[in-house]
Amino acid sequence: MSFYLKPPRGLVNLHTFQDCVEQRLKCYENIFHGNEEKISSLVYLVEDSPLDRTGHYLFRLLSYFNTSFRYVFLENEKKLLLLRLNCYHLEDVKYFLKRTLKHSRECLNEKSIHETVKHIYSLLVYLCSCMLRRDYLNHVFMDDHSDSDCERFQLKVPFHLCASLLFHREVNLNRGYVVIKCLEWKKLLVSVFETFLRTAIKEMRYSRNVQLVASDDRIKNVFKVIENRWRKTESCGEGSSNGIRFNVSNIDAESIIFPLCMLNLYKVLQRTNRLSHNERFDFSLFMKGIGISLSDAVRFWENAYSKQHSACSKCSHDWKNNEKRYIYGIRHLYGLEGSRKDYKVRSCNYFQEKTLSAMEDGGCPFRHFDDDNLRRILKNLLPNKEDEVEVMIYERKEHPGLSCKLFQENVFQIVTNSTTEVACDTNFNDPVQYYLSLKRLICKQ
Amino acid sequence: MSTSEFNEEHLPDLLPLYYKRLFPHLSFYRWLSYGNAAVFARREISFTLFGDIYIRFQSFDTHEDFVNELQKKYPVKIDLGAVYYTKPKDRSPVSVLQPVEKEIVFDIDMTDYDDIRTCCSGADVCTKCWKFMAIACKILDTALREDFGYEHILWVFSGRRGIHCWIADDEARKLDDNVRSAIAEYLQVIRGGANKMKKVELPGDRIHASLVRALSIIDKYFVDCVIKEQDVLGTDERLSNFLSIIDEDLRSFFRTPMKNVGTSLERWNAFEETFVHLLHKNQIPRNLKNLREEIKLQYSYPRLDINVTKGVNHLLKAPFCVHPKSGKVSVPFNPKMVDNFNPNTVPTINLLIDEINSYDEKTKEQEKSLNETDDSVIQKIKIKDYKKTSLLKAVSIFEEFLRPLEKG
Repeated sequence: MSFYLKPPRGLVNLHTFQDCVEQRLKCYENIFHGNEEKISSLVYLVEDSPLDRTGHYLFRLLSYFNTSFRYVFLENEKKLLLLRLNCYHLEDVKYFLKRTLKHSRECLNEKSIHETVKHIYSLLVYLCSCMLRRDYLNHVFMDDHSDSDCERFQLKVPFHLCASLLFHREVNLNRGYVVIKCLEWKKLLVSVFETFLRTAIKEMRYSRNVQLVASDDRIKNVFKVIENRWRKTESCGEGSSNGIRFNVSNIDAESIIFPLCMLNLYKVLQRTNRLSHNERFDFSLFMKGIGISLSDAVRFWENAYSKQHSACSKCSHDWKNNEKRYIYGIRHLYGLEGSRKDYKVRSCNYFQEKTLSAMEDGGCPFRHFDDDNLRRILKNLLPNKEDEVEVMIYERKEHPGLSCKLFQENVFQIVTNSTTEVACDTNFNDPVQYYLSLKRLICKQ
Repeated sequence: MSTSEFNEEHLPDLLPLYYKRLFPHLSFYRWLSYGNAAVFARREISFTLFGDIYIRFQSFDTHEDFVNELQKKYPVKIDLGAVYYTKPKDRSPVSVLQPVEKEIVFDIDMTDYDDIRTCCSGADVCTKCWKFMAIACKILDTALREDFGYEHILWVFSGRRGIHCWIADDEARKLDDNVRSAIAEYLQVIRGGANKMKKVELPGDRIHASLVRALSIIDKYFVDCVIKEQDVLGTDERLSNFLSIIDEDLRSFFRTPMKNVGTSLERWNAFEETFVHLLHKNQIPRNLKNLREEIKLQYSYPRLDINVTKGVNHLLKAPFCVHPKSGKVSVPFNPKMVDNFNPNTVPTINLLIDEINSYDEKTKEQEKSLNETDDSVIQKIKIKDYKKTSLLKAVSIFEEFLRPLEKG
């Protein structure tokens, strides 16, 4: 296993360099599809070999520049690490711990390293030293360790260095330290690895070499190769600059072909005349993406927010008193204020993965709604399609996106009054793409 | 000028006086500088002025600058942002400011409890539903200290219907978005959104230690405050909401025994008895073994708006602001005394102004009478104005929070 603490050294020819990238991409794909056995045949992924390091460091470089790829990079490198750890026998573990200890100590001795990275190296030195002790290794690997709660050899780690363990309350905390039980060592190392990568990536902004390297054409080419393969994880929300125009006075009629997430928000807005901040943000970006102009958007919100808010809504502001703030907000989303960023609607993945608080309305309905509520809404929207509704409810547990696609097909059939099966060439990764692909299909009919 | 009843329209007259004589700006400055003036100078402080004029990315080089601007602009609301690498006011229009540090913050709003509280809804709050805030405060405060080891925690009444929590520990302020998200998710137990009836899932055999601790706090309040006082099972509608949390397969077992009795307490007892009965008959599926705890948590565990906690650059209303609708001051309170905190008796700006005025009147009279009887020089002890008012307690609590911060 490798923490990739040290970059590769020496020279490599361009052809081999490009192969490193290819193989690592294949590795990621195999991880995604659960084909772990195929990874061991990838020559350039021999652990911590110069070529393995080359691939890793190159991908790390790209993830510094491309924040959506960063998520892919972190997830896959963590999985690769875990795969390797799971294959280990005692001797392998000892070897890797010794090597990691050696590298960490060497890194600590380097001059001009930032405090944050220093803490991680120190932690690795501490962890490896603890785990290399004979009594620890004997106990964890040799003793009968069927009791997963065994705490004989606890490791205590400051929580901010293994923060990923907190998300699902997988570990206990004590005064700022995560208490790691014997069998949790793998989980711990993967979490610390993630912290290390995130920190290392952040520190790259202070390195002149990083900017130099990224301007090299050969590097730019491999970046393009990687990005093309992972384009599906990026939100390709289409902005209003696409030339599509949406007449906002039609919004009520058009709403039947909105994706369920946005239709839900639209209905909340109709019912209560208000949406809370995040929901308003997401719905506004959807409106922008489907082609509603800035002035139409302002008028739309003015119309809603000039009405009395119902007692059960979350917001007590109104247009008359807070007009400036709302207009500024909408203009900001259209890239006309502040940092002038061209905001795009968030991806389906975002809405699915989002944690919703107690009464939030956002998120992906196929992921978040419970069976009763989802069934009620789907039956209402898709009359006489009880069987199809049950399929959607069944599928959404594993694949909310697939369920949404089925929903799209059924809406298509109802709107066009047909029973034709929609060819599976509509592919959407965000609510705007859902709407536009459905609209295109309907217009073709 | 004084009014006994708060009237929004008088705010433009009252606020300048408030900032001149009552707002504890020196304590405020001491807090935000953390012993280093340069830190204060790089803090983003935004103002909302009358007429919904919002000014972001302000910063103040000195305490004096801050006070002058406060008194000149008398903002309706003050928001605190992060400390940045460059002074926010000096930023260039196209650059993106890099945050250095900010307190970890939590925001608990009573409207998030609207689906379970029965006494009030929306903007209203009373001593009955305030109990939810008391439970939330205790659970969160304990978790932050025992699980995370934090010590410098400030609890503030938000001004109308909620509470804010500010963690000022050095290590806490330096944490990035990712770690803040991890903390928020660790503490966020109630999830799922408006369209998920069951909002707490505790699968598995064991309940996490931090939730066991939370449940022991909840148990002190649950029967008296939630079941009886809030009467959460007292009507058919409320019973129906309760039952919708239970899996459809099990629901019918509980519906009849609970419907057969009338009061909330009887219904809760019926629920518990039925559950234990089913448990003994092995009719409770493994993933629902902790159903009682899940329900207690759903009705009592703190409901956090975790978006507020996750972002380093998220703005949050500052303590000691005056709420424009209620006139109440966002006062700090002692978490150990949260049970006695009454949101209805929080000092309002007009009360404070009244108190200052009447103190001034009394002093004038005393001086007059002294002048008539005694020619000796009167030692005028300058007492800070807030000490003459109901704001004294709040500022003392704030000072209590500051003292250990300044020592370390």
